[in-house]
Amino acid sequence: MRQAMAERRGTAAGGRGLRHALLGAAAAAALCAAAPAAAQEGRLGFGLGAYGMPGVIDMPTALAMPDGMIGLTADVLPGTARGTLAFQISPRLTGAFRYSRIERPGLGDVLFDRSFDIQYQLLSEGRYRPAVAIGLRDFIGTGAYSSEYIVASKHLAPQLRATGGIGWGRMATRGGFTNPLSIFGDGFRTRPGGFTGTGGRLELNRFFRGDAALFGGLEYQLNDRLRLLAEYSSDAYIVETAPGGSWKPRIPVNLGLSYAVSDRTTIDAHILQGATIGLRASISLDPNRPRGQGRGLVAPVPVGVRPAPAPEGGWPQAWVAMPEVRGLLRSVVVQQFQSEGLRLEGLELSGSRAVVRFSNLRHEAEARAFGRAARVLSAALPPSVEHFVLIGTTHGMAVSAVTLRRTDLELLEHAPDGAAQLLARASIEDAHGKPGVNGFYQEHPPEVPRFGWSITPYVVPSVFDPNAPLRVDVGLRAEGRFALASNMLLSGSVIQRLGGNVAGTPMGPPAPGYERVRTSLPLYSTNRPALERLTFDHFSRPGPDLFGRVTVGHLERMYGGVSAELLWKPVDSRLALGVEVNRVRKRSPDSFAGFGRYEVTTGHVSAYYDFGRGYLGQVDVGQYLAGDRGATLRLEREFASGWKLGAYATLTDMPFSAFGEGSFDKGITLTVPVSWFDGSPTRARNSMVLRSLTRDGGARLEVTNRLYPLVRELQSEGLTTSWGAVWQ
Amino acid sequence: MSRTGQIGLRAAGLALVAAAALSACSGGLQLQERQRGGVEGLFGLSRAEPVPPVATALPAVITPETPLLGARLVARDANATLAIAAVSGPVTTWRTGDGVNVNLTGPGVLQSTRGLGADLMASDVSATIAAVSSAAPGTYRRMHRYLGGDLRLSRDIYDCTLAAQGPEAIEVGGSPRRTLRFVERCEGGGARFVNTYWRDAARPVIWQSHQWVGPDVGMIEIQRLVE
Repeated sequence: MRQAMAERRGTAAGGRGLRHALLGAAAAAALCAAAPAAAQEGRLGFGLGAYGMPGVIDMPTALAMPDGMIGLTADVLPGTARGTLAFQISPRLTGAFRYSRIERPGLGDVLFDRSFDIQYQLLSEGRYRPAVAIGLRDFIGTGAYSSEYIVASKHLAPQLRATGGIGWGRMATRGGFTNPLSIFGDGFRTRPGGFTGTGGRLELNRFFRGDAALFGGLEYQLNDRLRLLAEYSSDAYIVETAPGGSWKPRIPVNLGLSYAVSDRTTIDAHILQGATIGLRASISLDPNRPRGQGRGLVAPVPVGVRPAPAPEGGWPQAWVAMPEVRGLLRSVVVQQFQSEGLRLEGLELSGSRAVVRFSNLRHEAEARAFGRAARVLSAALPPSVEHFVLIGTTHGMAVSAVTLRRTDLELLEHAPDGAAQLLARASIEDAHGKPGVNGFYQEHPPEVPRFGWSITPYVVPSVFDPNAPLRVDVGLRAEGRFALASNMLLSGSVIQRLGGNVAGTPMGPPAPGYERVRTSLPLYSTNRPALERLTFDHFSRPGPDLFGRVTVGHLERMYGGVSAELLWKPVDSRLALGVEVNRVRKRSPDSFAGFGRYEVTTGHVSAYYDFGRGYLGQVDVGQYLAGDRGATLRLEREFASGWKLGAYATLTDMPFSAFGEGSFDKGITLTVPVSWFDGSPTRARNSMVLRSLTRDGGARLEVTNRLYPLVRELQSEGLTTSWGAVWQ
Repeated sequence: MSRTGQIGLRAAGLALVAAAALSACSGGLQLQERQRGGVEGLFGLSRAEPVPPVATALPAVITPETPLLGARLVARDANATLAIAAVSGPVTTWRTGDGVNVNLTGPGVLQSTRGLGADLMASDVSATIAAVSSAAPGTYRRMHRYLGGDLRLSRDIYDCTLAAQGPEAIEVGGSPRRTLRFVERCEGGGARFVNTYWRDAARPVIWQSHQWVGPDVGMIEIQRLVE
């Protein structure tokens, strides 16, 4: 999979000179145009180019998407198909992951390539100042698209934007000239080709080396929906247009048309290099702007306002001693909670205080669950109860206790600043030690059935096998669960595959000297009913700020054994520490519940850090399934709507040569909240990991119910982030 | 298993898939409420089923004396009749049978809504209340709060002018009312709206009003059918 990096020289020196002059003029115009006073800053929205990043057609622009935005692009031309997921990581930093299918007539094969891009906007566009950005295209991997660039974009008129820049690598395959950076050293004159060893690594000694070339582009917004594009491309498509290919470039200019189907979807058509036609479709998603508008959410119960003033000597508390009244109150609360999508786990009533443990089954915004619970209590409980201690629980673990005064609820329900003021008056503490909260045993609420089941269809995609980029398995999943206690669950699922092509996936090469801990996964795809998981889970609160989990049984499709985890996370701390130890044995692919011979201890010590504004970091150090030791770094951005995007990389003591192609495990994680699409409140989410390749190095056990994500949502950060919804 | 047995199993399985896909079956203890929508919502194929509303505090019996409100959402062409669900100081919560709250304050100025989707979450309309109650035109500011997709409450400030349009005789709920009509024009942050209030000629009661809820919901037309 080596890319032939043949350097091209211009044919006629005169032609090249003229071209340079024109480009120089365009670049000068872009950079130095004293924009007339009428020109407004940034009238044109960004457009996504062929590479799925802000661009014209093939060439990039110096724009950034709105913070947090996700762009999905599919681009096809004869011999090439590209699918890109781009993400605005921060207001100036854009990243992308791309999967491409490139026909290489010169080598007579088809390359399925995964690449990552990154672009940083150094300057945003001002009145006279252009936007300037620096970017790396395909900076990890085998380098089919590998280029670096510096680009500037500026509006010349409200409807016209010009872009100009300089590129290296693939973006210098037409009109290349000696690298201007070679003034810093001769090493910059040549660019090493191919990739080191097994590939998949950051090739630092390649960046900004070799010849450079100029490029430029123009975008003209004709009307509300139509935009005209033109660019001078410094990408000669050498590999794709080698002799035997389906097209050959004729002129260095790309022309295109972009049609906005909606404010989120665009369809493009372009004529590439005067020789062929390409098509593109892109969709942008804003995780902060849900498509649905919350129409599925029914209005809450109004806060029950007690008659004022309170009688002398306070409200009567005789009801506390009457079990019939307490029983009636409990059943009213259970029923009202159920309508609100909450489950009452425990209710401790005293004359002036109610301690309520509940779990949230419906609301994707945790604070809304607390707000609804508070409203129900204010409407149902006798007037003497002044303090509500609301304890959010998950899997039987009581996480945080939010204490609210009923008087504050009555006063702030309709206040203009009601949400902020309620947060200021609420206290959020660790739930450990509160009445009704036990360390190791929480009684199952009598009103809730102990046994549950479901049958659902499932779809399992498997991507990036070079022979068949998308494999899908479809089938039925039957799940059952039995609650021995609120914090002790026996559960399992059986799957019956009904169709699909995952079973045909050839196994990747093993890592020599290591067990096939993950590359043998295709063996586990079978036409018979298969036991997916069968476990006993125990969740606990061993002490203040501590959370515990023990899971025993068939933990996942390939492994079974024992998994134990302990997490230290104070309610308002940015830092959390955890340790997980697992002793597992590989399951046999041929038997329903049997085991093989391979046994391993895997485990990690983890540090989690919340940087604020949704940015999370995690470092895990320990031993992986193949017995290799190392560390995983994970960075993630989380949105209040429930979207999460992250990236991770794992480096272990397994040599790159043993790991195989890709050198080390890395990937992208994506979580999509279902409620984002139609607005109805639901906690359902779909999560996926886009892993570059399935290999045996850095492989982790897939345990459901790891503690950190469960706990974090219910603590200060999770509640404060969603607090805008508390009165909703 | 024999070939025919395999085919039979497959056919049965497919039939089950069809059944399950139409209504994924489940029962008993669940870890979360069953999801709806999702990818179907992305393509506009699903319609959010209304969740059974919370038992409301609506009166069991409606008599000729029960205070009632008639409301119409212009943009959605939806009508409803509302009854009082709660009173909290100057704010009255009116509620429909299918779970929409309209909170009116003072003489009948819209304070907030719930259950309309992009609700008016909270507001500061004290200046409007003062001006309409005392039938005194003037210039002042209003503040509206809406919930963004990032779960933050916005703070939108509008500059408003209240102008008197003179007396008008209208009929509300079958009863004639002598009213003074006021028009409130507000502008701020790129939004512009016009509210109209038909205030009783003698008392600070608004018999009819057209008020702007927000950019997504639009105008709501309210009538005090029975006081």
